[in-house]
Amino acid sequence: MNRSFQISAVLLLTVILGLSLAWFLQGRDERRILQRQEELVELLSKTALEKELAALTRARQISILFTDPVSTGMEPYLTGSHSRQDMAGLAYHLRSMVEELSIEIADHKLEIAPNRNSAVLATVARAKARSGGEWMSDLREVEMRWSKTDDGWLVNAVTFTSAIKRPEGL
Amino acid sequence: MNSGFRRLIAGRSLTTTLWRAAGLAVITWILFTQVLTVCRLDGASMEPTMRDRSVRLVNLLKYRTGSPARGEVVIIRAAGRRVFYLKRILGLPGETVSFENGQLFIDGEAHDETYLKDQGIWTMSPVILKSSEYFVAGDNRSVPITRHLMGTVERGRIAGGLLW
Repeated sequence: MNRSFQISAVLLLTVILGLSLAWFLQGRDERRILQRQEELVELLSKTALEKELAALTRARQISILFTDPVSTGMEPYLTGSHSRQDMAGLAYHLRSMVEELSIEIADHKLEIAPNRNSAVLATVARAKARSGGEWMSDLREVEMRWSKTDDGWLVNAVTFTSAIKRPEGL
Repeated sequence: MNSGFRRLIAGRSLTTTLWRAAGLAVITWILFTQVLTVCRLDGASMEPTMRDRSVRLVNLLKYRTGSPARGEVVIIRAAGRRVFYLKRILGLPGETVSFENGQLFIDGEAHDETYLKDQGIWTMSPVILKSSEYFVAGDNRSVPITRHLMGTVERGRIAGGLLW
């Protein structure tokens, strides 16, 4: 085996080890929270062909990703404390207001508390919705606080945040 | 691959080539994560100065030593690492910013914004900035003030300045 081949093999092995280490360091909790977030995004999305029964099922599936109660600070849509049943109703109502809805997570930052029982996921979400035949688009910073429960990681607070704070009254 | 690039990367042996390629990858990574970043605009907030979907180069080191000045276009970090807002600095820490029928006032004095094509009709009550806050807005003043993302931003959120 010549020396060049050995060095190439070592470099390749280093890359593989690096990727494995990155995957390992991301941790199980991180992966589970991000999977739940993906699940939530997928459930919130809506196609034009969605049937009534599917909408009701999705609303219920969305609600069980939240703790009971859950705190929301999403002005002007949703603020205060809500039960899981409220969340199912609100999810159904909000999704029924649009004909189509797609959500994309453009960026995120996840911080898990040292005791591994809670986490804060700061995301930038882009929503595209069709209502009355017209497409609308909105980019929002959303902060989700997660709690580890017997049912896995659940969202216990959702808040709209923004790096740019709008003056009061506007 | 042109000959100059090939000469830069290709060594006399495979080992040299691999080391050079790895070095170039590290330098490129540092350059485009710590020094410069390429942004693609998404939205009409800075129109007509900067077109929606245009590509811009940002200097991430610009405010490591100095502070942003009024009139400069800056990038503001949103949640995460990849999404930024692109806005113009209007008010500096400690100043009072207001608008009256499109005219910008700083500490009660009218301030001309020569970079604007359309001054608009924005009206906003005075906002007093804290010692770590800047007031930012886009150049598209034809959008109603209630639908335009503008306001105060913490110094720590300003991640760099526009190169071009």
